[in-house]
Amino acid sequence: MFEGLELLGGAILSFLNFKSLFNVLWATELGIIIGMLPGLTATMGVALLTTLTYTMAANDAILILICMYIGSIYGGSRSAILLNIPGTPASASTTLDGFPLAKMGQAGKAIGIATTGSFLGSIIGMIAMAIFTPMIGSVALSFQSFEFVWFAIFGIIICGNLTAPKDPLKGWIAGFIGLFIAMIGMEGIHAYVRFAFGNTNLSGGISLIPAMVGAFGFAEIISVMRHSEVEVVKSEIGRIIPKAREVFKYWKTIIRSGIVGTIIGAIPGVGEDIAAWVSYDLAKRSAKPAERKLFGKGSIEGLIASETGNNACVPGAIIPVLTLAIPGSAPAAVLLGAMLIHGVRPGPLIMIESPAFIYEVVAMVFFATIAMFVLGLSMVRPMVKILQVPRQKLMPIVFILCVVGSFALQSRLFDVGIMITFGIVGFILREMDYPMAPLVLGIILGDMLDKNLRRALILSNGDISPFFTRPICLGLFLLTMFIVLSRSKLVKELFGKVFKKNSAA
Amino acid sequence: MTEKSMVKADFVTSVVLIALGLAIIVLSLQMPTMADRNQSVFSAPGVVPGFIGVMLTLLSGSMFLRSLKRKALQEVKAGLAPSDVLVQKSTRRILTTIVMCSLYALLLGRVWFPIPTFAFIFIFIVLFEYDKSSSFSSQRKKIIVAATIALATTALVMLVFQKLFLVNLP
Repeated sequence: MFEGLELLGGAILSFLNFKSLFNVLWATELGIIIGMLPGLTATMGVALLTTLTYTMAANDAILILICMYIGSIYGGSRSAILLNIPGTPASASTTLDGFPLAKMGQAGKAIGIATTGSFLGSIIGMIAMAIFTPMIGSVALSFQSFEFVWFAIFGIIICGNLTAPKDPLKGWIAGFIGLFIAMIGMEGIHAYVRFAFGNTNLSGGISLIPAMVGAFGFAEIISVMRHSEVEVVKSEIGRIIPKAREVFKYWKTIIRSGIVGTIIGAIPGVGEDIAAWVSYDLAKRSAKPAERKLFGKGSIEGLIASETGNNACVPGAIIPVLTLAIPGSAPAAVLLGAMLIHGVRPGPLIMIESPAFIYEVVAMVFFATIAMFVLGLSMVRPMVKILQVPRQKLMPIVFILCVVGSFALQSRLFDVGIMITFGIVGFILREMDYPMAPLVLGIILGDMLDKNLRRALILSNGDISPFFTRPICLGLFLLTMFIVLSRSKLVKELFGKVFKKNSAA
Repeated sequence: MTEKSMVKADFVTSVVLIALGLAIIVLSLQMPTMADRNQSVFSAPGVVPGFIGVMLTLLSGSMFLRSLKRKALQEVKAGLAPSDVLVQKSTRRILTTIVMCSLYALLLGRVWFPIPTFAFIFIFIVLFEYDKSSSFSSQRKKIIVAATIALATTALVMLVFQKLFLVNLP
C-alpha cells in the first residue's frame, strides 16, 4: 500500500518539469478542440497524435496521448451544449440537458457544470485505477492460455452486446469480422502467412492505426458531410465557474456516475458513450420526482451524470489495457497500440517487469485531469469561435490529417488504402447498425485468441475440458452464456423495457 | 434507413457473410497442419481462423433466418435497390465526399504531395460551397477564401509534419 503511494509520488514528481507540463497543456487543449469539433473523435485524436509522437521518448508520448484522450472526451460536451451535436459520441447524452440549458441562456453555467462533472469523474476513475490496477495485475499473473481464450471471446460478446443494444447479433458479427481481420498476415507460431493471396503488403497484416483512423476518422467525415450547416447557439455565455453548492448538491449522483463510468470503462471495448448513457439513465431513475421532470429539459443533475460518467470511463478503460492488454474502449485501443509501438509491454507481466509504469500512467491521468479542469474553465469564448468554422472548410483538412496519419507510421501507401477501405466499409456498416467498437476490439484480440487457443490445445493435447473446469474459465463461460441467453427472445421480452429505453435514447 | 430497407440489407449482408464464413473455413482447412514438421496438430495455423469461420457462418446464418422471418424475400422481389436511400438528398453529398477523398488518395505517391493536397482542399470547399444559382462574380470571395485555406493547410502540414515532428509524407 505505502509502496504504491511512494511510487505514485515519485511518478508525479517526475512529471513536474517544464517540458512535461508544456506537453500536458498543449495536448489537453488540442484534445478539447478535437473533442468539440463534430467529425473529430477522441479515437481519431489519439491515433493522429500517436503518429506524430512516435519519434519521442515513450513517457513523453504516452503522457501526450493520455492528455489528448481525456481532453477530447471532455471537449465533446462543448459542442453538445452549444450546437446540440455531440462532439464525440461520448457526449450524446450531454446534449439532452446541456442544449436546453444553453437555449435558456445558461450556456456558461452548463459548461461550468459539465467541466466540474468531468473533472470529478476523472478523479474518481483515477483513484479506482490506482487501487485496482495493481490488484487486478497480481491476479492476472496466474492466468494461462485457457483464461485468455475466454477473455478474448467474452470481450467480443459483451462488447457486441452493449454497443449494439438494438441488435446484439450485429455486434457479435462485427466482433468476429474483426477477429478474422486479425488473422490476415503472418501468424505468430509457425510464421505461416494466412489469407494474403500472395500480396506482400497483406502478408504484413492489417495495421491497427490506419484501420482505426478509417473507421473512426474517415467514416465520421462522411457522416458529418452528409448534412448541411447547423447554427451555433447565440446565447450569452455568462458566468462559467459554478458555485460549489450547485455541484455538491448532487454528490450522490457524482459518486454513482463515477463508479458506474469506471466499471463500464473496464469492460472490454465498451466505451465512454455507453458509460454516459448508463449513468444518465441511472441518475434519471433515482432522481427526486421534481428533478426527474426536468431531465431532458435542462436538468443540472442529468448533465452532471452524463459528463461524470464519460470521463470516469477513461481511467477505467486504461485498467484492462495495463493489466490484460485488452482495451476498455476504442481510444484505449489506440493507446494500447501506441504503448506497444513504444516498447512498453502492457499485460499481466507488467507487475513484474515495470510496476512503476502503472503509477506513471496514474500520474499522467492526474496531470491531464487538472489541465482539463483549468483549460475547460478558461478561454471559453475564443473556443466558441472554432465551433463556427463551417464543416466543408474543416473536413478536407481533417481528411488530409487522416491520410498523413495513416501513412506516417510505416511510410506505406498501402496503409492509406486500408484507411480508405475501413472508412467506406465502416460507414456502410454503421448505416446498417453494425457497431465499430467490437470490430476494432476483434482486430486487437485476434492475436491473443490465435496464440492462446492453440497453446491451450497443445497443453491439454486437444482436450477442451480445461476450458470449462478451471475456476476463472468456468466463470467467464457462464458469463458469456448468460449474456447470449439473456438476449434470446423470451428473456428479452421480460426485460424489454430496459433495453428499449437505452436504444431509443 | 427504413425498416424495409434494413430487412433487405440484412438479407443481402447475411448471404455475403455466410459465403465469407464458408470461404474462411475452406481456406483454413487447406492450410498445412504442420504435422509433417513434427509439430502438434493443434498448433496448425488453420485452427483459429477455422473456428472464426464457423462462428461467422453460424451468426450470419441466424441473421439469414431472421430476415426470412421478417419477409425479406418479398422485399427483395420488389427490387433490390434501397430506393428510399437513393433518393435522399444526402446521398449525393455522401458520394461526393467518398469520390473526392478516394481520388485524392489515388493521386498520392504519383504526384508530388503539395499539388494534389492543394487541389483536393480547394475543390472540396468550392464543390460544397458554390451556389450554381447565383452569379460567379458574387461568389468570388468564396473562391479566394478556399484557395487561401488550401494553400495555408498544405504549407502548414508540410512544415509541422516534416520539420517539427520529423514524419514522412507520401
